[in-house]
Amino acid sequence: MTGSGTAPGALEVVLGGAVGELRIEAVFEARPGETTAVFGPSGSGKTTLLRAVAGLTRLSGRLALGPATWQDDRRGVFVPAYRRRIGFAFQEPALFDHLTVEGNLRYAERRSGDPEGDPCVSFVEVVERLELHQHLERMPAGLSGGERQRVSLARALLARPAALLLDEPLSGLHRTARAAILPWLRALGEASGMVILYVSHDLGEVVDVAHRIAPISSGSVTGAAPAAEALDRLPAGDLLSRFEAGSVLTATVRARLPALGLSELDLGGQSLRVPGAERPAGTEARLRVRARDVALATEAPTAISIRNVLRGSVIEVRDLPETPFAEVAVGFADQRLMARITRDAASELGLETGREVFALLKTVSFDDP
Amino acid sequence: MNAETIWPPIRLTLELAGVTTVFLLLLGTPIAWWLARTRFRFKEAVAALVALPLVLPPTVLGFYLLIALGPDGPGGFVARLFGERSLAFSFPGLVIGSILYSLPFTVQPIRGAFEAVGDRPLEAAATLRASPWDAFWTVAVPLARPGLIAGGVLGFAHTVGEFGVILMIGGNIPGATRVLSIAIYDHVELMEWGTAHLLSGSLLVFSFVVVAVTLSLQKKMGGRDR
Repeated sequence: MTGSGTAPGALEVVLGGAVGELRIEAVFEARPGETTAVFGPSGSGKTTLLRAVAGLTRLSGRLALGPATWQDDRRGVFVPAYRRRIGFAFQEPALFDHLTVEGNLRYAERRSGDPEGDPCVSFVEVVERLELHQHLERMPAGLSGGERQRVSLARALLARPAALLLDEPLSGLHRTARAAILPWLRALGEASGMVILYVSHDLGEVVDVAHRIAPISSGSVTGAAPAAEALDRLPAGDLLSRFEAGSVLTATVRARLPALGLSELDLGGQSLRVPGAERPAGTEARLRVRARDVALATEAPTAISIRNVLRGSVIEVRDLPETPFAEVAVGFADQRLMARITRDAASELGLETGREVFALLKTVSFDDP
Repeated sequence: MNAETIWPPIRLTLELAGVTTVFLLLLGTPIAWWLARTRFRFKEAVAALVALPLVLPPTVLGFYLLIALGPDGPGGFVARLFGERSLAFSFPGLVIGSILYSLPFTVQPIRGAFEAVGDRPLEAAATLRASPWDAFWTVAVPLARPGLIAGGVLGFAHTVGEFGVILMIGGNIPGATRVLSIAIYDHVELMEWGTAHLLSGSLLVFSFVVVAVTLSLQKKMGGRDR
């Protein structure tokens, strides 16, 4: 998936138009086998854009999935939603209340096309991975929000989509449940070659699932870039502050410590110990650190439980408006780490650009599945 | 009071209400669907037209129907195709009159039920590659079922209780147009209080059951959120 040409089955989006107050202008491409996150704050037009791709909302422009043109206003083409090979999970799951959970899933399966063809995922696997077996006989009305979302995602997958369109599909789930589902979803996309468009305003989710990110702001999408690149380019200011801010670091595995269940990593000459000992020494790993899991000290801390301390210097201190917090960007080697501390602490420590600090990482996790 | 005077009007009434209900559902369901889903600007004008019999005096409706069904109206034209002179004072004429008269009672609850279903389940069905026809039968109708039942029950019951329109277009021909409500009127005219009591009491109980069933269905429908 590194070629620059349009791979067969890519989703090309050139859509524009006004919906209510919002003007949508979206030009991007989502590649087959990849998960493209449409990432932006609430009210930025994510849902509208996704609905337009599905054919549920009408914008003007052009839309094609590989050789299939779904919309081309110049040629007067508009393929209705039910003739597009999509799977769609609404943020508020629209389950059929008159059918059981299994009935909902079978509804999708029966209409998924060629029954002899190779499904991207089997009924059994979906039910197992999304932990639905004990709910199959239940009616949707009795399910919790998270359960409904899992059924909705399962149903979308069983429709055997060429483009899977997900609108914050896991917002009602616990972080741990989400962390188990996202890598599976990403791998499923890779294996089946389907396009996955994943709409979210949650940075953590996006980092976990996306190969590429198409940032959206005030209805405007100008392209999808590889995840790491796009994250770097996100304006550190207004966009990030509204999400669960964090950083992605790149490190090299120095040694595995299976007895401790840890890996020792090298990060620009400094060392880190991270849970998980699966990666072989010498490989590169992406790490994710949430800004709120980073504490700062102006002297080398001793006698504390936090093992991971990185030495760096303050690049920038920025107050988060309407909150008691400030975000501090700390640089070491050529990487950058975000810390969220109170404004009070920032001023007491005398943090300012160039100041040497020690970043204490409470939680670090491997980013990729 | 004997069986020969009591049963023919009851049988005729049930026949009329049964046939009318079938047509009401066949005709009222698409109208209700259209009213619930369309963005047509003047849809409320159409809705008002359908609802007109709610406020129109039955005699007025009956008068216009009499003209329409009579030898010089479109009804007469249709009747001549079957070798008759007029649709007025005939069972088919009663069915046509009853359909018009009871239509709002069927359309209202069905329209309400379709509106309560909302866009979402139908959109979800579309994303699962169900065509609009498929989605109508597999999603909209099952979800709106309490409303469809209520519409059928109310249409049936309202037809059973019809008086004015039938008197105007059907008269009082035993076995052909003499329905229950007219029979009761006759019995009272003839001072046959016993028979009038029996028939009226039965209608009273019947009506109570119908209203109770309908209300409980509507409550069930309202309880199912979204």
